[in-house]
Amino acid sequence: MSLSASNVVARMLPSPAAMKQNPLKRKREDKITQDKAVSVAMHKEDDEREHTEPPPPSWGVLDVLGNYMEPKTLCVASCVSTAWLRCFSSEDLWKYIMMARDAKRRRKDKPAELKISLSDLSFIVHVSAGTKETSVLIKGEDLEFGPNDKFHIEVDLSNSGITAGEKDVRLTCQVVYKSTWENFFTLADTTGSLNTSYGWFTDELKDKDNRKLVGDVKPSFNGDVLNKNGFAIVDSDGWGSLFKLYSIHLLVKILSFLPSKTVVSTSILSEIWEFLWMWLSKLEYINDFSSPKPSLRDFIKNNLPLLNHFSLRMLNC
Amino acid sequence: MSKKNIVLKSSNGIIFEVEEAVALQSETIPYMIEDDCANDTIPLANVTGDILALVIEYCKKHVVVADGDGGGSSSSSQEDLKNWDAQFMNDLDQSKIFNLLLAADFLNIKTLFDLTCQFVADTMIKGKSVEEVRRTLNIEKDYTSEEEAKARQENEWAFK
Repeated sequence: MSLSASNVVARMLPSPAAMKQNPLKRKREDKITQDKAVSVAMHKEDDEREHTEPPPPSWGVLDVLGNYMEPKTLCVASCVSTAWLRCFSSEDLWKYIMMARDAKRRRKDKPAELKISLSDLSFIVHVSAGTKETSVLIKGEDLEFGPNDKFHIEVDLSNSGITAGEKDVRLTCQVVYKSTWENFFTLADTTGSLNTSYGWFTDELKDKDNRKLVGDVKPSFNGDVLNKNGFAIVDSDGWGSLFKLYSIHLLVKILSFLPSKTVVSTSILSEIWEFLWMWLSKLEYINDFSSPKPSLRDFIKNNLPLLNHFSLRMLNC
Repeated sequence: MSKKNIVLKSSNGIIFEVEEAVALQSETIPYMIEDDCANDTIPLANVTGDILALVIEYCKKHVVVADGDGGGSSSSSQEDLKNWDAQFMNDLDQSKIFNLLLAADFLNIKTLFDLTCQFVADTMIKGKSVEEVRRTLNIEKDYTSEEEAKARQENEWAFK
């Protein structure tokens, strides 16, 4: 009896690597190990088939299961217990899922229909100075981008009453998916002084991939009164090629700011994110894109189906 | 031509003699053979006899099928194998499944590891509510109600 219990304990001991990896785990594991030893020992007495309370899976089991679960299951599993939360909410796991999951199966899948275009997006630009403020909604369908265009929108702010010389003029630009308002992202939130000669740059667009993207805020005036305001995303890596940034980067940009788990989550909530998160790992591909397509819309149509079906796979399995 | 046999010894001292091709589905065992265990018994300190018996049953089944087709498996045999795998897993209780999973991990038998992991994920966790998972796997709820509410809120989208 005691012999069999000690065997079980030996089997359940974590590998040294696992212990090093996460000291918290070890604590939990000790506990589980004891439980397990006791419960297995009990089973030796009973007929094993008759037991009603199976031993819970050990850390060793939990640790490897994550890669075999799809995002939704992982989220539910995270709510089971504190140990499961640690196991199934780790950033490493979610990254792995995003990048590597089901690569072996993707060949079998048929490309899904394209579900996104620029017309699914709207942009809200809000400008305020003191008590004066104004918001403008721009629909993606009204925007046109050529293959090498920077992302650029310009809004009419002539009724804001904001004049040159004002300090602390705040500009925000948000992106909304369709008009559900459930998915939106703040692209820029910047404050500067209005000057009839110059705009300003905002560096908050720095992303994980060390691309030095900046927001380019460029007001234009009618006399002293603010007339229009432009907002662009430009690449500051060598100002000579200031405008080399493709518009699609905007979409990638949006995702690169979010933690991976949120990205995968939102990919299931709405279709836009479904494929977009793929681009996070495909930045290089975009950069190397040497034969530009006629427009952003075509670019998406021609290039996204592959990626799209890859992520769809996640939803269906 | 006689085939070479390999002798495996479980943690509780049970001896299994298997054909080399069966044992070599484990990527761990070749290393153990290299490590001076050749022509001798290979001790598997992490695997008990009942679990090792299951591992061997699985490996035998899979090595036979690979042989029968001379390398290229036909779709029918693939289908058979899949059904066999499903039946194999269905006949096991949870405790055996977990131990089999760990054994497959330790012995580095990729297909068995995938099979057991996917089986646990799909049959014990996927599509179940949090409460069902706790019940199925006998997990103690150690969340405070605040912590649980927070965890659920963070993962809210999954509950819609």
